[in-house]
Amino acid sequence: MIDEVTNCVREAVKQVFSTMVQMDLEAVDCLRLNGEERIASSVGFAGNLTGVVYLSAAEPFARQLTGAMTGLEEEEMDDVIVNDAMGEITNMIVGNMKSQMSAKSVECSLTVPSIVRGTHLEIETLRFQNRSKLNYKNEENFLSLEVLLKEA
Amino acid sequence: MAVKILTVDDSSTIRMIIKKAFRSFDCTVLSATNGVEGLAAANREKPDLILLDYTMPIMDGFEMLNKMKSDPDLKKIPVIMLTAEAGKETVMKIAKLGVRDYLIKPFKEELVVDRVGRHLELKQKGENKARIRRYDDEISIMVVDNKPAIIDQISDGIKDTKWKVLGLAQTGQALDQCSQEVPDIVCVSLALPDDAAYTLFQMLRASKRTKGVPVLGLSVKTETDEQSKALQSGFAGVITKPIDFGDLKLKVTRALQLDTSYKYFSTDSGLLCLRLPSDFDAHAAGEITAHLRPKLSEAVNSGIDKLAIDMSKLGRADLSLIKLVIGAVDLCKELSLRHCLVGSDAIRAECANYEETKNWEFVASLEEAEAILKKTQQIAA
Repeated sequence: MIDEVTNCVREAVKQVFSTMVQMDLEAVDCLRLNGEERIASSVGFAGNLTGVVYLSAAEPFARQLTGAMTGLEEEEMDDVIVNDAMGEITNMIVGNMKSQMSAKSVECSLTVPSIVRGTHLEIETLRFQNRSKLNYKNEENFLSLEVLLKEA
Repeated sequence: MAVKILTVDDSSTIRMIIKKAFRSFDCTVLSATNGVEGLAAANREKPDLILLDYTMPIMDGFEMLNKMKSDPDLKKIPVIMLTAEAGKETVMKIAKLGVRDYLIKPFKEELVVDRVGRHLELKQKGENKARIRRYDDEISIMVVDNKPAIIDQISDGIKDTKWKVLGLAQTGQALDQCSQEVPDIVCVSLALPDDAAYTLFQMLRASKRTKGVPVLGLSVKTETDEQSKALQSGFAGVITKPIDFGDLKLKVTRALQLDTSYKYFSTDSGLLCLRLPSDFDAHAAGEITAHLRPKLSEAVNSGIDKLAIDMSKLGRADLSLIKLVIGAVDLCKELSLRHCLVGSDAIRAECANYEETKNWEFVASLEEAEAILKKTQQIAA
C-alpha cells in the first residue's frame, strides 16, 4: 500500500506544482540542507487509509512558492501567509492523493493542515509502520515529502 | 454595476488566488474564512455568486450550503464548491445539495474565471469605456503555424507598423500563452494536422478570457474548401498564402475595428482636411469611404463647415479615386459643407478627360484651398 500511496502523492505533487505554483520540480535522491529555518506542513488522513504526509522546504523557498501562488511580493508576505500557503499546498497534494485512492475504493477523511517551523526538524514514526520519502529540487531549492502510513 | 463574488475559504492563500484571478474584471471579491462568517457576509452583501470551500473549521462548506438552502433570501445565490478532495463520497454529497458547479483543487485561475463566467456576466475592467484602438497602436498578433518561414514572413511584412508577432508552432503552446497573456488577435494555419486550428478556435471561444479574441485562418490560396469551412466556423477571416500584406493588415484592422481615420483626416483652424495618400489604392478607398460619413458628420457637429480634399500627392486618377471624390462631394452638399479640391497638374489633366470630372476645379495647395474657403465664408456672411 505504501508504494501505491507514494505513487499517488508523486502524481499529486506534479499536478499541484504545475497548476497552482507553475513550477517544474526535478526528483532527486537526497536533499542538500544548509541549516536554514525549514517549514514543515502536515495533513493527516484516517479511514480505510490512515497516515500523514509532511511537506517541508527551507523558509526562503517556501516564500518563493507563496509568491508564485498568490502573486504577492516578498515585502507583502508575513509568516502567517507563508504558513498558510505551505498548508494549502499540502492540503491539495493530500486531497489529490485521496481522490486517486477513492477511485480505487479506498476512502479516508483529511485533517486540517498543521505547520511546524525549525532548523533541525526530524520526523519520528512511532505509530506508523510504513514510510517513504520523495525529494525534489527547483534550481538550488529543495523540497521533501514524507509519507507515513499505518498498517491496515 | 460590478458583480459581487464571495469567496469562503479558511485558506488566505486560496482567497488571495481568487482575488488575483478576478482582478482584471469589473467585480468585487469579498471574503470570509468559514461558514459562519460566510453566512453573515452572504446575508449582508447578497453576493451574485459564492465560491465555497468544502473543508473549513467552525462551519464547513457543506453545513453552510445546507443553511443557505433553507434561507429564502440566500437559496437562489449560485454556489460553486471548491474542494481538494474529489472522492466519490464528497462529489455525491455536493451534488445532492444542488450546487451549480464544483472545482477540484489544484485549479488554474482561468478555470475559476471560466466557471464563474458561466453563471455571471463578467466584464473586463473598463470594457464599457474602452478606447477605440488605432492602426498605429501596438497590437499583439499570435501566429500559430508549424512553418517558421510563414511566421518570419508575417513579422517582416508588418515591420512598418507597431504590431508585434508572437510565433508559435503548436496550438497547445498557443493555449498556454493565452492563459498567461491574451493576444489582440490570433492567426492560425488551417493546415495544421488533426484539425488543430478548429480545436484551438473552439477552445478560445469556450474561455471567458479569450472568447472575444478574433481568429484569422491562414490558408493556401487554392484551398477554397478549407477557407469556406473556417468562415462558416466563425473565423473572422482568412489570409491566403502567398500572403498579400495589404490584405493581412486590412483583415486585422477590420477584425479589431482599428481606427484608421487619422491616416486620412485632420482638422486645423476650422477646416477638415481629407488627405489622399501617394499609395492610394482600393484598400485605402475602402477605408476612407467607411470613415467619410462619420467624420464629416462629426465635423459638422463640432461647428466645422469646410472640407479640403487633398489629391496633390497622387500621380494618377483611377476609378476608385473618382468614385470616392464624387461620394465625398455629394456628402458635402447633403451636409451643407463647403469644399475645395487640391490637385497636382497630372491629376487636373486626367480629371479633364472624364465626363464626371471634367468640370472639377482644383487649387494647387491646401493654403490656397483654405484661403478660398475662408473668402467664400465671408461673402456668404
